[in-house]
Amino acid sequence: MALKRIQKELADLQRDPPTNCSAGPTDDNDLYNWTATLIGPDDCPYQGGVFFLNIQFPTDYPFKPPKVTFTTRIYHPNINANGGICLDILKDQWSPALTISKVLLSISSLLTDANPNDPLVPEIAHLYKNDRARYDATAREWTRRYAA
Amino acid sequence: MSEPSESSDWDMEVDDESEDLPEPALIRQKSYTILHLSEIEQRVNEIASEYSELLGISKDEALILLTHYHWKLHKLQDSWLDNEMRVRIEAGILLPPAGYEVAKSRGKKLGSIKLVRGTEGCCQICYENKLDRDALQCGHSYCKSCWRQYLENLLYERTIAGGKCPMHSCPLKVPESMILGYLQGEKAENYKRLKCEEFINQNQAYRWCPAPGCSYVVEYENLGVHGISCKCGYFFCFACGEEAHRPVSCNLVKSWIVKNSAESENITWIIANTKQCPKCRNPIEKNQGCNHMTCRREVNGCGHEFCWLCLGPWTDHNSATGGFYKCNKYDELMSGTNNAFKQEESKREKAKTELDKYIWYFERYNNHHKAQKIASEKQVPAMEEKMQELHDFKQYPIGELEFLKQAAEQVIKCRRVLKWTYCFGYYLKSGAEKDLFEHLQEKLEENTEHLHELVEKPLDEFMSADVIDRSPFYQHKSELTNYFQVTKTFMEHLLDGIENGLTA
Repeated sequence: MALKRIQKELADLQRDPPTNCSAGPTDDNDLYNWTATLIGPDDCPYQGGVFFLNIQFPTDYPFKPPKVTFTTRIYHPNINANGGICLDILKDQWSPALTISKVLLSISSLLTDANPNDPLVPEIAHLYKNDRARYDATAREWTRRYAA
Repeated sequence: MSEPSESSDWDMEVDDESEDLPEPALIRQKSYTILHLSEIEQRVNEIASEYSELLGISKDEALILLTHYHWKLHKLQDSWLDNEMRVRIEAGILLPPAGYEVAKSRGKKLGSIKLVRGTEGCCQICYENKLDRDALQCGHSYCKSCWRQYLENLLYERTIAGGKCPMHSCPLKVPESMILGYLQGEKAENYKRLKCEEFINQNQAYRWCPAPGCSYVVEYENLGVHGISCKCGYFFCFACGEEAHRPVSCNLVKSWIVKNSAESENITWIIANTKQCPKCRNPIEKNQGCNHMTCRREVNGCGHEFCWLCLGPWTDHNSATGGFYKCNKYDELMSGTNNAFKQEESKREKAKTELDKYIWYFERYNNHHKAQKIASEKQVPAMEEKMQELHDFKQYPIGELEFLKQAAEQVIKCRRVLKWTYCFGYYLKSGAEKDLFEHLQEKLEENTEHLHELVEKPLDEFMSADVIDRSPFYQHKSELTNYFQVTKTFMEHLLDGIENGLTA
């Protein structure tokens, strides 16, 4: 079940890729382990950055959510130093009707609209809320340094 | 050999609920029921059927509404009367219509849960074209094998009560009839169990028996300090879930338990668990219930007999030898003339610090606790064996031997009450009230010690084949019965005193 569905998702992604995203198996022999790329959306400090993510499918996918982590460093209140992402649909709000394509779009919109009220990194969230300019500058700097 | 004619007078009175201590008048009537999980399920189904009729909805829908309202029946009724459509939408049995606004929705014709079967297209989970698909009212359709896996996963995650359509952010709940259509056998049973657990956890009138591995549930009528005697044998307080703790309040018990766990890492435990013989300094471990200790010669001891609590010679304790029982009074012991105790506790005499006081009370609390445990784990079962032997070898009627078990059970009750009185005493300020309390406590403790010692007395002398005279046995019975009554009376006095005011 999991493998068939992953194959279908892969075919759909290759036929009709969502804007600014791409994804596929890291190694053709292991369909459960993917690498995805996300281009930082316009109108946010991550603009133009190329971010790599690692996707691991559980064997009972899609009944359990995939594990998605950033492998590129990013300065964001909902993403920590290990690349862990705090996103509801990757946790308790996961639905088997969701796809990697939808997950990547959600992560992309998380870059545009961070959620400082439910932070994974409180210091960044604090800066986001109290000194937006400095937050933007740091995020831009990190994007230039790590995601260029 | 004839039976003594008075034997009927000696029979002990046993309350209808023999596990219960005498209850305060207000809650003396039995106000709880011990239920098995199957009875809970029956109750859940009854309420669902009732609400199905009352609200004119299906049983599936009633169950979803009740779960959504956490089984708060009045809240569901009020909300339903206030705005039926809103309740349906919020609980997830009705899709919000396009442009839905709560204010406008009153009195509109309502839809209900419907399964859409055999719709065209592909399953939105496995993306395969399968004709045989199910969907709720929302039309999000999935093939049967995906539904089954989805529901099994919800069951595994214990979120199946309140499980929704697999589509992201679709609010519709999966009805029970559909769940049971997909889950069979053991899985269906697990689902039902989860449903009942949900019901119990949401409902303040129900509580699991806290004993490990026990699956009975208590249904209770009014809250307060109240001992529940579960069918598994555990005796607990409904209000806080701790072991039954009359006459002490739940709050006091909580502070006491917190204090015990906070102090557990220091010397308290060393003191509570080992003692040295006051004469020869051999280390002594207490493995019987009563306080009468003998430093056993078989294991290189000196044969000294002493009191476990005050370490004074036992001869001072036995009223038969003109001794005086005073081990329950903190001040008495600290300023008294008991030399063994003084030497042993001289460091405590120097500074009556908070810790000293706590240790003092804890030791006595722990002492009763351990004695209670030994009595319930070892002595009651041993007593039952003895009774059988007496019946088998000496042909005593079982009914005539009941007093042995009752006495052993009485020891447990007394120990439990005495244990908690040390928690009570620790928090009680000095004064006339405390004096009276300690007097009552002393009386009960003294008699309980005696009863416990009698209960521990080996019955071998009555068992041997060449014993024909039964009068020593009946003498033993009379003595035990007497102490049973005495402890019962003193326990009632103590409980009554603490619960209804000691000096009032």
